Amino acid sequence: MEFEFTLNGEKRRVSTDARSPNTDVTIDGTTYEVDWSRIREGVISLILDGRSHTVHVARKDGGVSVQVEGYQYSLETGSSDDDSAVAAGAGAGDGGSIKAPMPGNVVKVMVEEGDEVTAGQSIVVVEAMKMENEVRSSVDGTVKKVSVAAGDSVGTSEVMVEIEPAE
Amino acid sequence: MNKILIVNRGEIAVRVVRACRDLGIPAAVVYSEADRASLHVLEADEAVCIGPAPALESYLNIDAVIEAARKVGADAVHPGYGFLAENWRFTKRCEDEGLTFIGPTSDALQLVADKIRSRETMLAQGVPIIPGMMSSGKDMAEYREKAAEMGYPVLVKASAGGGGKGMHVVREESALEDAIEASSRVAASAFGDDTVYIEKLIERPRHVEFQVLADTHGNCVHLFERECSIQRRHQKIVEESPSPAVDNELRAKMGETAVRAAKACGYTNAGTVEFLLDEDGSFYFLEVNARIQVEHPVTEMVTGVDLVRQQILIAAGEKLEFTQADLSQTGHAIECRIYAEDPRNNFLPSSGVITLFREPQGPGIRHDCGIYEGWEVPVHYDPILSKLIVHAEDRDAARARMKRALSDMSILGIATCLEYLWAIIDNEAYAAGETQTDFIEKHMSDWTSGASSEETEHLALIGAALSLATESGAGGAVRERTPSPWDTLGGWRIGGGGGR
Repeated sequence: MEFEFTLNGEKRRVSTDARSPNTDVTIDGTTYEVDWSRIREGVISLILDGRSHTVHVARKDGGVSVQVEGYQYSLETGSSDDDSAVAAGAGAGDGGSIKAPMPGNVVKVMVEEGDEVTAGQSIVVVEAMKMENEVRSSVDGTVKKVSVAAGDSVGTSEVMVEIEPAE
Repeated sequence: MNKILIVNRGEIAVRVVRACRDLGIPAAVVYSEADRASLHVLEADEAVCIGPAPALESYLNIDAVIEAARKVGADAVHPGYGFLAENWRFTKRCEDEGLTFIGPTSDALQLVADKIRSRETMLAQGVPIIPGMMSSGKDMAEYREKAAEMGYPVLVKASAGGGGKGMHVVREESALEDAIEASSRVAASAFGDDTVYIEKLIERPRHVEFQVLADTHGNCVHLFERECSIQRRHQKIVEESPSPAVDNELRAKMGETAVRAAKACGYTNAGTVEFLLDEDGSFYFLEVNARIQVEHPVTEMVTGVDLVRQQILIAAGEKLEFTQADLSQTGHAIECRIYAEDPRNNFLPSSGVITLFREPQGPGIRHDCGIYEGWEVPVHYDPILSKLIVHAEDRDAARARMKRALSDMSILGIATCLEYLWAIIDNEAYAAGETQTDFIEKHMSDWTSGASSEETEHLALIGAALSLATESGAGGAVRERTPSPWDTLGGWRIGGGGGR
């Protein structure tokens, strides 16, 4: 099986047959001989060169979160296998959409349709967990559509404002 | 006491439930509609829903809380921290309704909540306070005159304030007027009281607080200090006891002062006297925290005293079981607060389902926890998830143990500050005990995550690939299982036949 992960903005190719308890795993041309065991869902034990590591893996939108040796990684997936769960729509890259970063309540909408905005400008203030968070535009452009008003509840990644990026 | 109603949620509610169990007192909790599946509801003996998710309609709704106490037949109320813990009107209501409030009296609460009145009380008792005004100024000229007297920089503060709200640092006279107006405006909208005052700014101080216990028979002891200087957004994240900046002589002096301060306020039950400690060893009274504090476990670890148990015993009218001479500090304890927040993204709170959770274990490790795997962290409340506390022979051993415990802890599905906390404990300045209140700004501003090695990145990639490859439906790559004893035992079951 082949997997393609994006880690810190870099594409990494990982292939493995994952069949026997000792298997080869190849990362971008480097091959490791891995003694592995699936302890339960999301928990993988690895022994590499005699060193034991436990890797924790959990699904998230567009990929997986992984924790190992106290470090946490976010891996975006786009599998080369035909696996819809793995092939996710991460990194849609539409910088013009102002999305809610988390579920919360809209405190303030700072733009109106037709407004010119610049990258870095605050567009919406969302309150969650007793804290106000400003959501900013990542592009220069014109406000095409405002879909929320103060007092509305929003869910993660819900589009609140659409911005037509400047040419 | 026949039954205690715990008016809180999260890890502290669970902590109080356990203290009740240890004392053999039934524990009831309240919860909001958003908290039906929260750990404190699962752990309690009884649970009452008191309203919708917003705290104002549930955990802060005094009428609903009193009704819940009646409904379950509780004769005492434990407020935890936050929510109604330091609201004297709630305490007064409990007193009027004949419910035992596990905390100070409403009179003492009212006094310590008023910063100007409590400064006057302290001054009268010879407790050192930060040079500053005893009341609000009648006009700008008076503020100017006082600021010049104490010398710049000064701090403009709201009398009714807290949590840094309405606080402004003024470094020169030209900025004073704007700061006073801004502070007074914020104070009026946030606290309904526009009174502001100014005091001398102590630069690069440490935040050192003393735990006190006072019974209703006039006995009061201190349980030494906690150093809580490491803060971000005016919120503590790492605490420890003893303080690396306090020696025995200073400790005795500050402890004696803390007891005097608590007595001066007519304080009973568990409380904390906060001080600012200057680099030259002079210390100044800041305020009394009239509640059990988030960081109370570090004191419990070094003194061996269960503070929540003591709170309940004191509220029941019992005499303290020990004197000052019976108390000592053993070893060193550190606490890290685990928040659902993303240090990679300006500490933005994070919510969602905890898809994987592993707690650290082993000697000297305590985890005061309000979460479980599969639980969805709601968006409505403070993002504290749990507290990790370690205890060891000395500070270096405690630091090493904390680093180990943090790396052994896994929380996936939501963002947490685990890696960031590890970096604080690992920091050279932290190791050297340079824990002034500007620590984060000074030593952590260039922190970036993923400062890991190629090796751990590869481990993550290998683990992710193998995990995805074994998920059901992922191309049929499910591993063959080696037969376990369970498969080969035939009709036998271990311990079979007896039943339970």
